[in-house]
Amino acid sequence: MEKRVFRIFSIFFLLLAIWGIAPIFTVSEASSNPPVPSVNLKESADGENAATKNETGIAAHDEHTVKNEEESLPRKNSRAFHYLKEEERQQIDLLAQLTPSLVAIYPVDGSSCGSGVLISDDGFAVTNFHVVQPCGVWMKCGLADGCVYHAVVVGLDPVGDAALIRILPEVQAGRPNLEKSGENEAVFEETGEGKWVRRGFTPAKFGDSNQVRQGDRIWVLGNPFSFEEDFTPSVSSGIVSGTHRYQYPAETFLEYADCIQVDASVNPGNSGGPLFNAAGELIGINGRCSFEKRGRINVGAGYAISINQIRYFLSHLRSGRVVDHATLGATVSSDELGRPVVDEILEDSEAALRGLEIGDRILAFGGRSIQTVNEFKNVLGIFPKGWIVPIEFVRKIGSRVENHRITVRLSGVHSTPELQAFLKHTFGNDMADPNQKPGETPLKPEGNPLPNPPIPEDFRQMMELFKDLKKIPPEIAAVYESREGWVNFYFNRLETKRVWENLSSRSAFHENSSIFRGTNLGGQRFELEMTPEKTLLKQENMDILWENQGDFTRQSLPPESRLLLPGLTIWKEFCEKGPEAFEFTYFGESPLPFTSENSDTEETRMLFDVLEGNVGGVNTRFFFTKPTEPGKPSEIRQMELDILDGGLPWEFKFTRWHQTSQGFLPGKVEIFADGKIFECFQLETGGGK
Amino acid sequence: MIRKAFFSLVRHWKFYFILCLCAFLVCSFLAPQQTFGGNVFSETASKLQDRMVKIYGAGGYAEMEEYQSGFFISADGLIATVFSPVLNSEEIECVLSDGSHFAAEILGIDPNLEIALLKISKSETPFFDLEHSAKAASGKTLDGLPILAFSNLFGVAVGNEAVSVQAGTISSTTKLEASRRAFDFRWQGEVYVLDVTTNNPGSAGGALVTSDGQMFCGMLGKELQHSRTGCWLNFAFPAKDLHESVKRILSGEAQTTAMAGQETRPRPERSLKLEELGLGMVPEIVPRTPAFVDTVRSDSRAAKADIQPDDLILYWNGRLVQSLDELSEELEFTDFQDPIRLTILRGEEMIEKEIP
Repeated sequence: MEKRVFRIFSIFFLLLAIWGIAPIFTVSEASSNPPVPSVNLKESADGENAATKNETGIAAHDEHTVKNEEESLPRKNSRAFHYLKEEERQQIDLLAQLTPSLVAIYPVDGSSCGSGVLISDDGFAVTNFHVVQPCGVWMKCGLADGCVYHAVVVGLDPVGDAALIRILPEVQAGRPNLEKSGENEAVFEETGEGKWVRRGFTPAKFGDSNQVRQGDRIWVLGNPFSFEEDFTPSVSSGIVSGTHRYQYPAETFLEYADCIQVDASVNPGNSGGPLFNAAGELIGINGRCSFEKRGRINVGAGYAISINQIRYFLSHLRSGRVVDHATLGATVSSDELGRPVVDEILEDSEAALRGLEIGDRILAFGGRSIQTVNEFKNVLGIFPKGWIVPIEFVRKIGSRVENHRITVRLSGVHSTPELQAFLKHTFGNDMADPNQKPGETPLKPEGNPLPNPPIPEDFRQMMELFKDLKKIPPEIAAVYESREGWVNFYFNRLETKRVWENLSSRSAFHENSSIFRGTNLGGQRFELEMTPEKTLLKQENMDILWENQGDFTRQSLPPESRLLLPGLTIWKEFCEKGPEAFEFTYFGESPLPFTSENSDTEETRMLFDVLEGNVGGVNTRFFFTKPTEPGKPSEIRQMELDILDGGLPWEFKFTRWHQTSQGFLPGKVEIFADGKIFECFQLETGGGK
Repeated sequence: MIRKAFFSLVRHWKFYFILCLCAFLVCSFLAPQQTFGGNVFSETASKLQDRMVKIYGAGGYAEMEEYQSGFFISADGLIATVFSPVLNSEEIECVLSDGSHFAAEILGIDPNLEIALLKISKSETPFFDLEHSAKAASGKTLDGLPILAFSNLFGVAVGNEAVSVQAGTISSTTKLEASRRAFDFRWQGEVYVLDVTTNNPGSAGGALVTSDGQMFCGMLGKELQHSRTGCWLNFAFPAKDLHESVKRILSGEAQTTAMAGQETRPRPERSLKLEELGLGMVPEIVPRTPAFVDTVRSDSRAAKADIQPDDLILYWNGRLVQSLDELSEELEFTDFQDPIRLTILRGEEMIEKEIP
């Protein structure tokens, strides 16, 4: 029995061996020729043509003739021929899958064009800031199905040259041509009177741009020169010419950090379009070229924003605001060996408060090892303001070398008024009045974001006649809310509502009085009573009372407990009254600071939804866990209070949430002041009376 | 005994099983990898980066870049690059793929191919073998060959960052002579014309290799624009011409620079003065003004040799003169009676002249 099994295996391996060795004969024959193919190569090139014709069905001759040609080719080339055919078949299939995610973007007056890529099935699409800039609040988008849709602006990132828009599902013009987009009929619904509505969109699949290597094959899809009258995207191919490139900003805007350089044709109109890897994964957003003296067309050096940077910013863009990039509050320069060393630091920056000093040599930043100043600039450039990153550095004290690891919340490059002024200057005179013309002075960066191709003058004059069309149509008005300093507040409302509705812990407090009991940091028993008027902490050695007078900034803090009781009061107030009572807004996602305890846990890699607002004059941020599956409730993981006289924020960490008879409660509340543990409550019982 | 054991083994089914398994393993190891669509470009790109050099020198104003590309051609730090105004600098800095900096000296140049050989003091440098490449390509057409071009175009890469890589094919091998009036170009031999936009600011001196990285094909030329259509040409000098040229420079047959070894040369009792030749040069407005002839006195020695105003003196007795400074130094070493061999550039033409 066993013998037979082994025999069968022997035969199997022998067959495999023959199959494996077969190519050696075919290829070794070819490689016995001179290493430089001359005539042979031309023949295989002909073979390639034949294959293309065969695959695309453009062939003038029928299948039979192609077969004959194939047979007439020398045997040594037949395998190469086969590979080419297979390769091309795969390429055609791949591109057909990618096409439906492509977006052609036009301002309402048709004065320019750009590209974008769908990233969700509910119509969110990523593009360049400089594509949306001439569009204003809303724009027209063409998809590969041949239809025109309306889209509304969601969020803008002028520093990283990125923007998020949302395409609305109603078909405005055209008739769905599913043969072109290759999509299923089920994506459309006919609403009568020949009107069509999309049930969903086909998003691109995200890749990991950190895995991109020089020499990787890539695809550029987009709408160069506005060629695509039926919105079928143009395709160009090439390789990755360089990774982790840094392209300088214009002053502080339009900086391309850690970007991907490609040699595929990237032309005006390709801006905002996707860069795909050979597997069809989205790895970048094309947006910039080196031009100099060559004129503003492809010169074989295009730059794409890495998709990992976009990923960091996505939730921030969804918040409906102008997002800002991050700064460390310290500058870094090369030492004599070219290594990055801190040469200046702002005294009140979080980095300084957490212990970074002049002369410290940076080893790693944001999880990436850093060897040069350029690498540091690259990594810093991909994070949004408010992101929390680990920094590893060495400090030399005499002959001793100390290794340090800190986590720092990065501050913004710009102040809020600066960003708003920039927005007014470039995006339109006032975001609040979308009927106004876009800014007359377009941004002239030192580098070269792709220009929007010119539109013929007579066309422009024609469009002038339809100026009234720029008035916001009702379906856009339904998803647009103007607010001073915001791009589109409608989307912030949506996100804030989503986070709040997922929260489960609201019921832990009682309207009149809530009492919590347990042990504190010293191991003593405590009782915490919270009423609308006061918060009372009873401990064995002393009681502390805080009266809630509404405005926290006017009251003097109890010296022994400082922000402890006001903080707990803010937690209660927020949970009872909700984000709207204190005008909390959605900030985006962020990781949490590392502590010595959680530095190597899954927790440090998790992202949390952040709401920020002001309770009684204190700037407050709440970090919410993201539901692991739809319908599952989220928890408040952390609350942060900015203290008024500068310095590190107070951190309240809530863990071990569990259901009790009085509601959903944290088992443990840790309070950190100045980065050190200040108090720790182990809650045993608590909630409404 | 051994024979018996052998036969018993041969008769045993396990023998065949192991034999087949071995055959399978050997074959799967030997079987060629499918390269189409695979990561052959990435492998080549990472394998050859350490042969590339980022070169920095003079420039940085108007449309003159202060950077270009180069690559090692020997294990003792010999670098091939194009001869350009970038090298017209007191200090030429070479940055290697690991980010290390080296000061380079010019060993010599070939005015025909417009290439220069630089030397840095470093041993065991990885390099492209020009002789081998020249032999491999001799007598064959490379047209249609898939290639990768390595260069620091637009100076994108700094420090230890990898120079840019572009993929394409050799479109044709041709002489640009037919359109010499259209392109400002001196070389009369063949060049490879490429189908990718390889020739950008800073990419001159870059390396052209087959896409599998097996063979070095040539060196990317300078930016070349058609004078009428404005079209930019992407091209490279073939390895065999590069090899010839390097050989000439190394053998001293081509010209060494005026700077090299000047102290050891004997000075004549009486040096030559330009007035004696009847030559007037352009005034030295800026440092390193090129040696342009301004006036030629009629009936002078220079006039007899048909030297004309606006001629640019490139070589003086076989020695490169890059500026008026260097010309006056050369005069110091020239006897007032001796005939002089000159290489001059008149328009786009290079002419050899001898002043009796």
